[in-house]
Amino acid sequence: MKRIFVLFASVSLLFFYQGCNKENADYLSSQPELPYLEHSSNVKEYKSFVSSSLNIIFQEAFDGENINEEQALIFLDNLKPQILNKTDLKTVSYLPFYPIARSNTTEFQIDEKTLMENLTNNQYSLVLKMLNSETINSSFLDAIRMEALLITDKAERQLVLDIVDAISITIEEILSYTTSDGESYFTRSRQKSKGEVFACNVVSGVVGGIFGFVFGTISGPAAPVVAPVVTTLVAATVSTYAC
Amino acid sequence: MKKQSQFIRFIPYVLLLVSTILLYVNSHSAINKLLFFVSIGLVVGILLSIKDTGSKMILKDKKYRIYVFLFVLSSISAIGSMMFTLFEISNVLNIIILAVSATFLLLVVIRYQRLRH
Repeated sequence: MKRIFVLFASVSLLFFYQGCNKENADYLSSQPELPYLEHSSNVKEYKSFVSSSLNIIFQEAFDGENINEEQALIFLDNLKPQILNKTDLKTVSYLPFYPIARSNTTEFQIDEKTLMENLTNNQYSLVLKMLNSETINSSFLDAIRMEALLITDKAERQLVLDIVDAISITIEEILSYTTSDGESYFTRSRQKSKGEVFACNVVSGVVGGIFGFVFGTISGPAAPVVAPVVTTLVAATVSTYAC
Repeated sequence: MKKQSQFIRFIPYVLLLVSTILLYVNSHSAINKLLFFVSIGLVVGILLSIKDTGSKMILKDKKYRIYVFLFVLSSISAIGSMMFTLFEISNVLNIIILAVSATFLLLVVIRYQRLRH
């Protein structure tokens, strides 16, 4: 009877998990495609990378306009609350599914010390805003574009659209940025298919199960408690690295 | 003592039921991945409880019980910490807690092997 229960539970869990994965996949496929990047180990190039990114923003957005960098930053700071106050944009896009959405958004490892040494506070703040995947990515920029279209003042509307375009171009520039050796600073990683991720998680679970069984067996009468814990920790660790 | 050993055997069944329900409810979160692993672990735990490993008399040993308790406590902290950093283990704190957990697991195994002989 117990064996039948265990077999039934295992099969049910696999079906549930497959169902959950399908729902997640359906959600993700309904979202705009976001770039997924792997960070290069070369952090020495940050200074030139950051300067070129900043230059592009201001050249693209404010070229021909009589506006200095400080005014531009003030403008961006004023613009940000207006956008972020539309909390539904962020909430609907990210919060309920944040851990899943996060794994598919652009991620940057920022060497904060290097950045702080080379940039002023305002520049640092702008770079963080620009590189922060939670606030600036393709879907968020599209949302800003939509908001900008509602601005009645023609000049102001054009300015906002220019800024958004500049940030988009900057992101593209970051993607294509190369080191002095001609190697890509960021590499685009191949995203695993849904089936591969599912198979990978199942294999992680099996590996964890083997460890759980072995350690459960050699740890004595507390095995029913020790085995699940070992399985979970090993499976989660393997899955985090492999999947 | 009999009650205690029955209680330990009973835990995986209850947890399996709860985690299965949670897995079904939390379909849109990283927690479903974790619960999947927890559930597999519980199935393993139930299989081991059927197999009946070791003498229940060992549960009388105070040191053994303390090590098991500390191992479970540190492991739950490790899982919680991993969830807090959105299912990542690269965090230094996570690695430290995992190391502590592994140490207690080793102590449990060593104590059991010593008591058995």
